[in-house]
Amino acid sequence: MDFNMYNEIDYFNNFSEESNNSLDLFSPYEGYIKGNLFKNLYQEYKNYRPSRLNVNSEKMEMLVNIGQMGFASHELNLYLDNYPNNRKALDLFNKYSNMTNKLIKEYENKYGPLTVGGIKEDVPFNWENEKWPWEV
Amino acid sequence: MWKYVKRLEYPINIKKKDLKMAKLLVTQYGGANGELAAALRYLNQRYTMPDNRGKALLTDIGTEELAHVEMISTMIYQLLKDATLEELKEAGLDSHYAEHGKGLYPTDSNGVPFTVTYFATTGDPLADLSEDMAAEEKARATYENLIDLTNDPDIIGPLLWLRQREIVHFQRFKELYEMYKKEGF
Repeated sequence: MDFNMYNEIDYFNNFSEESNNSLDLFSPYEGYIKGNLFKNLYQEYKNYRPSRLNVNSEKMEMLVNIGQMGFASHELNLYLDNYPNNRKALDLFNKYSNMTNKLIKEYENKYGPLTVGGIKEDVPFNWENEKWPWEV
Repeated sequence: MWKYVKRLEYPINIKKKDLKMAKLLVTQYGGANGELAAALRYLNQRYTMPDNRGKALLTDIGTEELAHVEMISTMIYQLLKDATLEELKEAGLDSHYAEHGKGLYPTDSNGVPFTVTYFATTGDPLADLSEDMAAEEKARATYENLIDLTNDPDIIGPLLWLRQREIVHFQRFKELYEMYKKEGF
């Protein structure tokens, strides 16, 4: 009973705010290479197509997986800033954020910290071991 | 507070040095429509947004713009790093070298240093958000101009990607502007 009532309120909130703006999303990978998770907002420039990402190592693959899940959750974060009552967006945000956190853990165990909090307390201080993002 | 994450928002790997393009791209670092101006504009305007939607949106987009500063800086660094002095001179970057070596410095394509006069803050949410919408459109147009000026896919890929971000940010600012307008802020 309560559950149904909540859904109804949620539906009307969403309807009034977002009648022209339904959630029609690309997959996280498709959205990531395009730079845009929202199908209705995507506009190509001339005939340029988005680049396929050149994945040539396991490390790069893990970074692309973190990148795509992190990007999808960030896109939903910006959307939810404007429409905090959208349940579908929030569910997807939670799903993609949890996946991102899991992938970050896996990456850090293998390749070292992405944030200072991700370090192990061994010497040498492993925050500075790995390359920096601008280095190739 | 902020926390640094040691990865780019979108991967960049430029294999071919191109000093002419470095000289042009720098405007999206330190030019009027660049990412540094965007980050400071939103992070500075957010304090006087009238409710939590605006405070959240300007914080989150402003933070993403800092990641774009890092992407553009990475592109400039990679385009410049193997340059010889002769090549720098030929590309008109000898004056940059005199001041900064191969270091980065936020200027526009003409070498004019970054200035905070590139953005405004009125404290009025509708005025500030309309500036933000215009800023996203101007940055989108600048990315298109830059894409027209190169044929290196390693440069075009990230520029197309950043262009899409301008489109999404414009839409979010526009939605918030319209809600605030309707609600009488």
